[in-house]
Amino acid sequence: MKLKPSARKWVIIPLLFILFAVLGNLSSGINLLDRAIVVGVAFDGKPGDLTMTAQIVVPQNGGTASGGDKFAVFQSKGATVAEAVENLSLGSGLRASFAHTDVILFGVDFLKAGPGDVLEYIFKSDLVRDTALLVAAPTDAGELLKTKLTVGEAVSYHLIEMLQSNRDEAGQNPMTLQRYYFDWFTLGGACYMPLVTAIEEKDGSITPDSADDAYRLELTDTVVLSREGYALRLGAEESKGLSYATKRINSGTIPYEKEDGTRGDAIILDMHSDFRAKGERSVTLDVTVMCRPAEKPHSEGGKQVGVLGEDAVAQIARAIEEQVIACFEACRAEDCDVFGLSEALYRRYGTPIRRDIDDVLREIELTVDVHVFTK
Amino acid sequence: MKGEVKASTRVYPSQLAALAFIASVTFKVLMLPRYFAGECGRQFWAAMALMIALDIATFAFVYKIARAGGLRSLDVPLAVKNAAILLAVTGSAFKAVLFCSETVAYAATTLFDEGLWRLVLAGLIPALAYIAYKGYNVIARVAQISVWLIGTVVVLNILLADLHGDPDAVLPILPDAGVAAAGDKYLFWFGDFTPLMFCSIAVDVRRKHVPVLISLAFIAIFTVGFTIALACVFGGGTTYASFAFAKLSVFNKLSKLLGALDFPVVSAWLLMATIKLSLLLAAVAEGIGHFTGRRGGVAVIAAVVVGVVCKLAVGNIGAAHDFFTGGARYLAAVTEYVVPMAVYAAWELSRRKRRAAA
Repeated sequence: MKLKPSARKWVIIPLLFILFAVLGNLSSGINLLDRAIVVGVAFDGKPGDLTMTAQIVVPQNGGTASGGDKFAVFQSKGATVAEAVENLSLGSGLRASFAHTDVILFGVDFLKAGPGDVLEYIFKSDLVRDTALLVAAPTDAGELLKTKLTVGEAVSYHLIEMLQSNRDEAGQNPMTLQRYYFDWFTLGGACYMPLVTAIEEKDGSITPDSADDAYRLELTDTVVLSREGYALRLGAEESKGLSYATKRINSGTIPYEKEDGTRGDAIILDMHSDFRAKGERSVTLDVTVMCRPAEKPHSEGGKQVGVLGEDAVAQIARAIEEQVIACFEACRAEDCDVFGLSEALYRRYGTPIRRDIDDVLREIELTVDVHVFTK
Repeated sequence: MKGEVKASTRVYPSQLAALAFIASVTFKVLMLPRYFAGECGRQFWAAMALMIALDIATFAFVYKIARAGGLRSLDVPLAVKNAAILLAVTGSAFKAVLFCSETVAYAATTLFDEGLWRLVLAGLIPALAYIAYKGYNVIARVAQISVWLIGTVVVLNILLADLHGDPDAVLPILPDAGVAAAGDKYLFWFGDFTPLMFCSIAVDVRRKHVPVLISLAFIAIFTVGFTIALACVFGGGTTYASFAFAKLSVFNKLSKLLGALDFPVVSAWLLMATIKLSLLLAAVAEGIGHFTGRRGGVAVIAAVVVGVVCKLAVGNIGAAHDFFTGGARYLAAVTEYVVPMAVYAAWELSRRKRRAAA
């Protein structure tokens, strides 16, 4: 029997519905309530003996960003990430889902042992989004994830807020998974990530019921990594130098000494920098800063107050230059090209730089040229 | 039967333009950038530009053939025509296996937790069989409709992208032998216009080149622009970016607020993949139909065979990569580049002979 063209669709449409229903049942769809939605994950241990800690939202508890008991922390072990993920699912009784994971923590000991395999797996397997933030922890990253915070939030959420709200300030150097791999493949191959420390708050607690054992998080330092793993830790000043050299900044302050010997602050309105290759072993970092004094301009005894004079401008420029150079020299001492200078030279001069890559960083001359504009 | 076959291959210039765009772009933005980056490092965008230039040059011959009524009705010596059809069928069948593997791997990773190929194949093959069975003009109509949806997804992605790329990452521009070697190794991913040789253009196209020219411009801008964007965002890390289109197109500004937001991109790309695979199967059906007189059944059988080969003979994306970058790649050089040029040359010679005789 041959159907008319107009009648065929009434056969095809039900057939398609049946096909969809059959196919839908072929796949083992997992209910949202059976999923462990991982918001942050931490890695400790060493390659081949990983400890993975995951902070998860438990949907049936109505998890919210306010934290408290709505979040749970599970730990699992495995020789590989895949095995640790599987064990996490087995241990928690929920299928671990990393689609909403925005922060990945690494213990410094783990970074020293070499995070390459783990990061490579995470990136290649699309386990988490490429925009996930990488953060180092000074000791055990898993323990840090369990920390009770004065603000009452889950550590993962609070870290993300800190990194996102202060990302345009000097001193905080956020690193995404995507950027990590971009840097890893440059000629120098050095990467960095912020270091989070938990500071015990005995008296300054915001939530009274958590005053005894609550902590606050601090992100002033930075960890620098070579391709092999952990290389060095940058202090607060050096971390600012790294920020000035590598990102656009549009908030924060730079202190200076006023003519009367008191302290003043310049507020950064905009700052950007650019590496310029001047010769095969010479690079200039041009830093352009637009700032204004924190104090409103006014007149005191016929004298203009609240403007940045030449001396203040020179101090600001010097402070930036010193911080950048301090960062550069600290990294160079560890053979880490954190500014990507060899890459900048390679882009300008091509093959000869690649050929002499072992000597380039040692021989490079960095000049920092700071241009301060006031408003 | 002959009349039915001809009717099923008749497409409008705008439909041909949409088909050309989807046929060319779909599988150049998925696994290929990663392969290219692994092969020639940061110059992978140059390899893409080189091969796209070659593809566009080849399209000129395919377009001439389609304007003349398509390969099956072309006035060329029978031996040339039969050989060209057989080669086009073979090339399309091999390509269908390769691209079906990529589609299944992509869908298995992005839509399913378990990533079982048989589930994806069970859903994909009936759809491909049905569309290929319906023929070129249906595929062309689907392409014409879909291209707007795909365009919307791409435009939204550009608007909502929050990419922190480094435009200097493409420097230094030092195309070397590695660029040509990469193009040679991944020949199977290029020259996607051969199935369009079976098309015939439905109206007088003396002044109707505009859609096709726009399509070619978009092909060049989209593929080369996409690889440059990848180079700027991922740099050498592109070599680890398994599904490039999904990696770059994630609506970053929204996904920061909402979590993973891959579905619009996944569905848009799957739509393109379905059209592309149907086109390849339709080419196989059209070619075999030339000899057997039956097209519809061939399309269904071809779809099933491709599905079975993908599951049983290929099995994983690594095996597909190894096979199609080996000696088999020269088959693509013949079917995708030599065949259109040879057919056009034969047709031109026949025309000249006819004119001389007249």
